[in-house]
Amino acid sequence: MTISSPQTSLLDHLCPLHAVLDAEGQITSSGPTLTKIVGGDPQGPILDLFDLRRPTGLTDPQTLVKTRTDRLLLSPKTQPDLKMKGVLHPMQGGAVLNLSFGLSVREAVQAYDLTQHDFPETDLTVEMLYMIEANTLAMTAAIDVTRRLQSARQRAESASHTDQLTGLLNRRGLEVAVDALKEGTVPCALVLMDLDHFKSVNDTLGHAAGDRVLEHVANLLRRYTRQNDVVARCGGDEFTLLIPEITAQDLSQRLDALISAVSAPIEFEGQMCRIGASAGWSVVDAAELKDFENLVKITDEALYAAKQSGRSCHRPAQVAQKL
Amino acid sequence: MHGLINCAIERFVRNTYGDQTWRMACAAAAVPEQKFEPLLTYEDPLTQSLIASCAEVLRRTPDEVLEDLGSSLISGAGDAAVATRRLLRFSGRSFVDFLYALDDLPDRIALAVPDLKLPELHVEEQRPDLFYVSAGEGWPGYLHVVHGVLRAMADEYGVLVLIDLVDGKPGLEVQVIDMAFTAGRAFTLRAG
Repeated sequence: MTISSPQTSLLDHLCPLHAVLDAEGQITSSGPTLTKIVGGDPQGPILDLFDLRRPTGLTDPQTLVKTRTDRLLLSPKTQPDLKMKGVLHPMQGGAVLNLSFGLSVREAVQAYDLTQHDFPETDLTVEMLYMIEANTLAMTAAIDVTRRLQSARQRAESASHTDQLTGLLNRRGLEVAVDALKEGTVPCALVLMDLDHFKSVNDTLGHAAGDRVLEHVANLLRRYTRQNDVVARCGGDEFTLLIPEITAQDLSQRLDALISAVSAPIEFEGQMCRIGASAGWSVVDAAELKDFENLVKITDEALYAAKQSGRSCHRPAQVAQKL
Repeated sequence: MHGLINCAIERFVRNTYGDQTWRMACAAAAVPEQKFEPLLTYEDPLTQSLIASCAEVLRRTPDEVLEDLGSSLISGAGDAAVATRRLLRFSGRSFVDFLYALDDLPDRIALAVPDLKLPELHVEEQRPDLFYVSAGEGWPGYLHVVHGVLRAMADEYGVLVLIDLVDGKPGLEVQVIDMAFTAGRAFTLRAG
């Protein structure tokens, strides 16, 4: 063998994961880390210890040792999942094979219980393991922050008073507005309005069309109400209006105009959506607002009556008639 | 100041002295919400007044608080200390290797958290068993934190050291008395 003992010592120091091969592909000496992973001083043919994955079809050790290559891929027979990289350097009477754990380094550290002493100081493997560990920690922190942001968002949404689609008040917003009106002394009208044929728009033209219709109706409602009127969408196609200081006559006229505006066809992506609106309403003084639940109940009956009389119309509730 | 630093102070005070002490220190320093986010950045004066109010609540000097903070980063209870001591152990096979690697510490930390910029550290070997460690400008009291970290890391490596502030000089003197005082804590490259 042409590799001398001082050279072996040099290789041991600089490339602890190396093997010196003779012309037959037999191991004549090996670096300390290679010795550690094969579990004792390796002897015999290199291909008895490692499966050669690349280059393929190279099974003759005598040809192998004459092949100068940077692209060896090998797996230890005892750890077939590890993919080690190899560089083979032919020399007079044999070759030097230097190995690295490549991308299997984490698994290799696990499998062979490797320490910092198993890698030369110039090898970046230890730094890479440091990076992997630091990255995992940073990722954990980032995931934690994202989770907390998400739950904060959910809390904020559930505390919101606004309907996301239309920008009108939602049920919670309506409750707050009702509480404020209960405290006051002004008379007030309650209007419950449902869209007619909304379900068929949703069913035939899809939810995007349905959403477009709801946004359009919300805009009409804003146009046909005053600044201080309360306009809410309480789920689906149900709208609730609270209009302070309005006479039954004014309200009736205003609802006529609103219902007629809602009944005009709405265009959505070249298709016409035809809907209408039915409403029940009541005009009460501040004291009657206190029992809001009952007020809603009788106004809802008026809404039902409007639907029964052919839709696209509005009907006053019993309480409003006595005013 | 990076949120991680403030979080480290929070963890140190809560784990060592309890939530009540933490609330008192926060109230004195007017810390919003009495907690910190690890990935946000806070104004430097907030951290300084937090350290000052911790010292006041604990009836100790700010220097002592910072030194204990440093050693709690390594040997404190909980997963956070396990993580820091493991990450620091990657920088050297022995305590002396670790001391030499202190020069690289800011870079090493920036590899893990790119926006966390630590002041420079300089290590000078005066004798094979005597080192002089000094710190760059930027963080007042930083050297006290380093003092605590070195004390705890010496324990990790099982090394007996004397660490002292030198009169009239801005650095720390680290004297290695016994390199194999105890077995130290085992360290493998394998992530826990």
